[in-house]
Amino acid sequence: MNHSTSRTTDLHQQALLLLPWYMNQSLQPEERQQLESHIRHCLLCRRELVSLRKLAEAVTEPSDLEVAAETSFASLRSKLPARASDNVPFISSSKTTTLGKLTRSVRQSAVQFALAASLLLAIIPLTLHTVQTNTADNYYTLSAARPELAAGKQLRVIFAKSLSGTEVAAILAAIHGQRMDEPNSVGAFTVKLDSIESPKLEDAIALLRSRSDVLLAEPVIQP
Amino acid sequence: MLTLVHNKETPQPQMLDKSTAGVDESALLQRIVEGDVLAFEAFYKHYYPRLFRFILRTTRQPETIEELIQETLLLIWEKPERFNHGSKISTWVFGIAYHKALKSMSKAARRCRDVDVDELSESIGDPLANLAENAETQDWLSNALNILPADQRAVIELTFYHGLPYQDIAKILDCPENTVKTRMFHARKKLQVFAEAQED
Repeated sequence: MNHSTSRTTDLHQQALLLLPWYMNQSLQPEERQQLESHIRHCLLCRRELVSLRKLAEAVTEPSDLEVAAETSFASLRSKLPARASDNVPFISSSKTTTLGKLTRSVRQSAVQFALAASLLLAIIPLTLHTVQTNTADNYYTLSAARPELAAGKQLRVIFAKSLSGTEVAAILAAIHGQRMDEPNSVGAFTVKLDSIESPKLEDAIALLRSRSDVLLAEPVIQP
Repeated sequence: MLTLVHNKETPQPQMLDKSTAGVDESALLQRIVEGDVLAFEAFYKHYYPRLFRFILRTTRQPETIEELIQETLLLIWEKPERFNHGSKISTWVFGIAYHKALKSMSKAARRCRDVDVDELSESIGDPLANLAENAETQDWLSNALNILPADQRAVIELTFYHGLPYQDIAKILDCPENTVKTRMFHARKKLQVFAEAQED
């Protein structure tokens, strides 16, 4: 192998290593230009790009997790520990957003914050109880939405990976639910409760959430 | 002479992780430093879907995702001053999540070693039957990613979903840039072999 061939092979190997980041358009301009000049003459790299595109398309399957984020933060909020930097004022200072100004007007000092936090901790259990029992009133959350917003009694459910297909089917049979589609990229199923025997949406959610092998059970909310 | 055809071989922006649009992460982090819970809530909700995907793809352990996300973001609430401004905020956050995910996988692996083999065999049942079931219920990529080690899955996810440059991925995974490239290379080879086996 002469010197020129060896150099060409090296360039090709370097190009192969960089192609994924050419595909996601994150290469520096100089690297990108060098790669493009190689790709123009390299059939193997162009084939590799086509293959990478298929992989990228498979990876970029959309997800729908905003509801879960809401619920997750709600569960964390009561556990938020006091910060090590407690000498720093709770409120964001100076050049802040409207939200920051609103917050500042409510809580004026670190002492008030401590009192407010104590009250909050005392009130949270009552609040949670109210949310669960007062769904007929005007207080709704993403997990206890207005009935008319629920998309025809549909649920989004994620089961533990350890469950077999038969076990999943048994759980769905218990709520007379019907799977609408294959799981999405994070393993979430859409389940419809359209049988006469199906329980109320909130009852089905409560049942699913009582199981340790159900990781997520949320109503599908229409915008 | 062949020319580069842009609508065929050149990349098109396919990255779905557009969640940084419209959110000033730096301003949020500054408010978190000052103890603003509302800013932390916004930061949490902003990162939750991205971390959910990343941790799921990396660990393949759905049961640990929620815990790992909360641990990661709680650390940011408790120690926001640890961000040294030497990288993007997202690089720092994903780096924390990755190390927590690795620890969790290490713990899970230790638990697996403690399990009686006969017991495990009974609970798993027929591996071929499970394979068939998986093929029916999971997408091709999910099955394919199962054959990769966690560090290679992380490189794939961070590159193609989150659209990160390899320099940032090296910082997140705490390894040299060339290691990121070779992990991707080996992952691609394995996925190609997997795809060919599926076609046969």
